[in-house]
Amino acid sequence: MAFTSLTYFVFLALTVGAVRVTRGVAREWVLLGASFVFYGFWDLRFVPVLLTLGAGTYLAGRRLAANRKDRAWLVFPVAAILAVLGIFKYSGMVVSLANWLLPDALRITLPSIILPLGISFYTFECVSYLLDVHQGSPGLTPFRRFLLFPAFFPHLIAGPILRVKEFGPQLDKLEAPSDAESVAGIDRILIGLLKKVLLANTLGTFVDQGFSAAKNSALDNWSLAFAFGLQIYFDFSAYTDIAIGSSRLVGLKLPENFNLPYHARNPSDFWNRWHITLSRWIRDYLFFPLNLKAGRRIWLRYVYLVEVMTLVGLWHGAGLGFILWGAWHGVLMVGHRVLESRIKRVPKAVARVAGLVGPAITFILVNAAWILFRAPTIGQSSSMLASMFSLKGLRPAFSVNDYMILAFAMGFYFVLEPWLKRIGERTGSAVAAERLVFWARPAFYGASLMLLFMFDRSNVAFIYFQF
Amino acid sequence: MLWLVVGTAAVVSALGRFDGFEAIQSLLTHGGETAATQPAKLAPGCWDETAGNDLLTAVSKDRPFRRGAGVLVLGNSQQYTVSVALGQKLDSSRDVHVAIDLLAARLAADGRAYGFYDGAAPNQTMPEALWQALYWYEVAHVSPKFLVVQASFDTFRKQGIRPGYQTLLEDAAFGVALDRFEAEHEHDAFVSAWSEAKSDALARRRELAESGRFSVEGALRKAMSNVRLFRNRESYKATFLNDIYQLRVKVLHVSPTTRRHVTGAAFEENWSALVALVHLARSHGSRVLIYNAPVNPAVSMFYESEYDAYLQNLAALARTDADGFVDLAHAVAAKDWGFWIDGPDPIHFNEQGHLAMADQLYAAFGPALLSTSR
Repeated sequence: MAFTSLTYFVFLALTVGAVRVTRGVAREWVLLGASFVFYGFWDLRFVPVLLTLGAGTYLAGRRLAANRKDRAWLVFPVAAILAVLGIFKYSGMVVSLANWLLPDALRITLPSIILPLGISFYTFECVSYLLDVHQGSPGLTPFRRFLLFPAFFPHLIAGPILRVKEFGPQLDKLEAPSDAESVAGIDRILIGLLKKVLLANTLGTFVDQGFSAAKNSALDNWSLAFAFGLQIYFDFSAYTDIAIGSSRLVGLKLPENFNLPYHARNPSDFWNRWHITLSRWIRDYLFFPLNLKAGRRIWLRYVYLVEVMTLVGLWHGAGLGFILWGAWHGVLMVGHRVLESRIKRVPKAVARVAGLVGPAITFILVNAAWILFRAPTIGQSSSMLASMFSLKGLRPAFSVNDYMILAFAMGFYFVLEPWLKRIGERTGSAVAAERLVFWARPAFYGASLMLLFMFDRSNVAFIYFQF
Repeated sequence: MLWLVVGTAAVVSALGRFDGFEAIQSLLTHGGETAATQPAKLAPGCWDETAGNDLLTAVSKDRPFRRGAGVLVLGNSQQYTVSVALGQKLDSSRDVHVAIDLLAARLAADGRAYGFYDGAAPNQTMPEALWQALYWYEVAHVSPKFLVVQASFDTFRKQGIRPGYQTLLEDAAFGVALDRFEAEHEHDAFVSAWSEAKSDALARRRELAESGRFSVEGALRKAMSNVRLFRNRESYKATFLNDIYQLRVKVLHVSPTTRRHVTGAAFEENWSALVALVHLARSHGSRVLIYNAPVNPAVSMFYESEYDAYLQNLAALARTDADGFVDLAHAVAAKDWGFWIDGPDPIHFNEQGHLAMADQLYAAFGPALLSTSR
């Protein structure tokens, strides 16, 4: 049940209706039931995976809550959860690597494994739950409440990745949203749908065609890098908008996942703005502990940083392109830290210029990295990057329309997106105060529906679903 | 909340009744007067819109000539369209005569009445022309005596195999022929366009198979078709995109005749397909005649260095691999070209232009077409 399908909106309307007529425990059951209907709609075989992981994490969490010093209830369950993720997501890659190393007689054949949607997200939530409980956070009980934490349908497939401390307290005072809060949710959903249908899908056509071409000029490859950078942003942030909006309609708040990432001042700042909930997961559970371990050995911190970012790449997919993409970001962040430590000693004027140039360089390098992420083979990505950085061929070969789409998307991102972001983040009380806008809203809704109907391609999946 | 639901329903209903995009279009074109599409007429029996949507149906009903006889012509809409300048009138009471008809008539008068099959299509790219030719040569087994190829530099900037062509894949024999040909040309640039078209077609077939089965989404969409705004969304989209196109011309002054680069991947795909097309035809015993399409002298669409290099390569290809070549770039005088949107039509011209083109085709290819040797 894709977020852009009519089925989803009928499902959402029914769920919202059920939430409004129930209260207390019944309301939690409604949300849990709806979440499993939502997940089962994709493929019924996914459901047992989520249930089993949920049950295992819940039991381990209870034991851990009872005795936080017993690390066995942390280490083994976390290892088991990661093993499940590994089996579903990385066994193919490991077997191909093994087969490449082994003689033909010892070749391993792997039965085909279906990757359950959202597994990368809910396994990380289960791990974070155990780590947080180990560190003193109260666990979620009873089981239905806990299960709602990873399974809650708006964030189940592609995040945001929740922490128990931000979700648990909301369940304690779960109430139907006010009308103004619901309106804010609908606004957010519509903004997300328009971004997905009008921008991400349109850019996608251009990007798909560009990446399938055998040979592009440097200018065209740069255009493709920026186009894909915008496509994946609009696609993923649209998903998040719809997730946050849907969640508001049932009275729960999800954390923000994006904060104008291409406005980042430097590579580290980019990760404070891009996929924020994954970044903080990585920061809190991997990077900080490793940093502590490295102590004053700065070089070791840098090594860990590159390693951690490489893992972030691997989390996105079992492919060398993703790994290199993560490593690229690690190297960029290390480079920035080294430069930053040096720049403290240069005159203020130079530092000021660096502050101005920094965002532009970050924008360029972050977008160049998308080539590794998107190109189907390493051979293609390396030849595209070589042409981009050698500036080989500056003649545009794509159609005028393609460049216009890119220019429009770029303009939309830099001009309209900051404004839409503010609209999307309003509180219910802010919406209630906007009386004029409230009365004019049907015109916006009607026009949006018209555009959505016109550009609807329900078969276009969100890019982040594959992770 | 009630206000939102009722208000939005009212707006949706109103939008379904009033086509604002038509109104914008009328405004942009001053009621259609100043930015007209060209008054044009198509030659009878040429590629029609339905063929564009379904090439398999179109080719299935035609077996234009027996094996080893006849002439297959491949090119773009220039080959079957007669277009006049704004203010001129087209005589709708009679059929128009395009260059290929005129050439056929002259050959008939000289005692060589060939069956001509016009396989031209709107904006037909070289990978599409090759795709079509492969069907004729290896599936229908209609190897013509001559293959006449129009090379239009403008189409060398276009990419892809459109859905109409992909319908040929429903013929299993074509799929086999395509796979074999692709394997033989795995390093050629056009193969990427072909592979993409195959996966598109496969996805569409899957979608079609799924649409046959009951699905909640399908049922909801069916129910939604009772809402006028949803039902008419395709036509709204078409008008909307047309508005965007008109706006592009009016505001940004990017028109069909704006100078553009013809390089890179699109050019490579088209060029490699042209070379493969010539070789395919030759390997089946056809004689290949190539002409460079007429170019409107009133517009300057291409960068000279790119155009000159293309022309030199085309002549070189014809010299080594084809049986005749003529450059018709200057064949049609400026006064004979049509009008499109905001100025001279870069592709189509009037009957006088077709006559001039036929003269030059006859002069260049006549000896080969009249000769009895294979």
